[in-house]
Amino acid sequence: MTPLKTLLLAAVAAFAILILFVLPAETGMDPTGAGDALGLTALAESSGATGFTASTAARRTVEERFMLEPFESIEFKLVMHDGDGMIFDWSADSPVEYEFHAHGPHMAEGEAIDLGTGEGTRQAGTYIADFIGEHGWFFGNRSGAPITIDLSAAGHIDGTILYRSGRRIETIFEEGE
Amino acid sequence: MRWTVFAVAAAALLASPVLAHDVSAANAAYVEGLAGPAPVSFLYLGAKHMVTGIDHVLFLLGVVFFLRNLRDIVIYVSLFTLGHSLTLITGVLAGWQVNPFLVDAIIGVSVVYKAFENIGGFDKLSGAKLDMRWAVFAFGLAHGLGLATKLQALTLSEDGLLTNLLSFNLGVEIGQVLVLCILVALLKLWQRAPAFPRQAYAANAAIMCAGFVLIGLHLTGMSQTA
Repeated sequence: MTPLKTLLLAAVAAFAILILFVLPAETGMDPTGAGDALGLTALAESSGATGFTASTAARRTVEERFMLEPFESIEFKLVMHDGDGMIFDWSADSPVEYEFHAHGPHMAEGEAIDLGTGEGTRQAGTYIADFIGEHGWFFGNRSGAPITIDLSAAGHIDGTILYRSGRRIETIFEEGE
Repeated sequence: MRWTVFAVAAAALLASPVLAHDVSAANAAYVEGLAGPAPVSFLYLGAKHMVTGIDHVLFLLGVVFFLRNLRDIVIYVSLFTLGHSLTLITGVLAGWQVNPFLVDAIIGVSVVYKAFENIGGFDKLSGAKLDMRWAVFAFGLAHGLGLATKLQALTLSEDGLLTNLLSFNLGVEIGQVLVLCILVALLKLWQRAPAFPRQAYAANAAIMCAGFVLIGLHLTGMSQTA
């Protein structure tokens, strides 16, 4: 075989491999239908995440101010559904211990997925809930002076739950609120 | 012929699962959260990019395929290194924005080109034959541009940029040396085998095929995002 013929053979083989396997698996394009038959297009669907999810929940903004007494700690949770997102921004007037975690009805009491722990005076970000449940913050004041925290969260939030001094205060938003 | 078909199939298997080797999502999140110099992390990312990048590995395989003495290997690899270091560092510092799919497709072309040269494809096309040293240097420039584009796709902090960039480049060299050690050692064994000339032809046909797959995939990516 001459080199030029080999080059052509390689190109033809590559074209077949692309059309039959690679493009369906990597991009979801499936001109021959072989990708669907082999189940390869599913790979492209799962890897082609765009960060887009639709939601039926109304968009709401939650603004809260918490005063933490010395050595007091609270938890403030947002009730969110699978795939719903929110953006948040909180700041404190002096360093506070914080932890963001998610707890779902499928988990045991007290069990939660820890998504970020630290100590600081501010954090802002974006969060998309992976499952229905309570998603939110623990704040702990480890100092001898009171701390004020201002928290704002906006997104598809169905309600809030505040855990403070052994009490659970739940607020579920009404439709259209 | 039997070897050619076998090798093409093997290369296709090898190429498909590892085609996309952008910096992984977790690594990207880490790099974007960084402010300030993190030389070891960037060193690691550079080395990882090279070792897990099938396009770079295939091109290096093509380059060292028929080289038998260390001196030639060092000359060719140094030219490649010089080329990609130049474009990686100036590209990031000057903020060159090149379509990453186009660069990846050109890297695919470099893979096909070197393998075609290896099977004597340019011997009859005398006009098209470049001095291979220049070609390797030029493709080094293209590979570096690809690296620069990938790095700039992340939002890099200005703080410690030069340190991080030089560390990434050094990591690329370390990764390249690691890959070359394995390739050269295996090739040394293979070159001694009596069937090497025939199998070498098939292997280079397979490398060309994998190069074409890379070109096709990245051109498709380019048309989808354009």
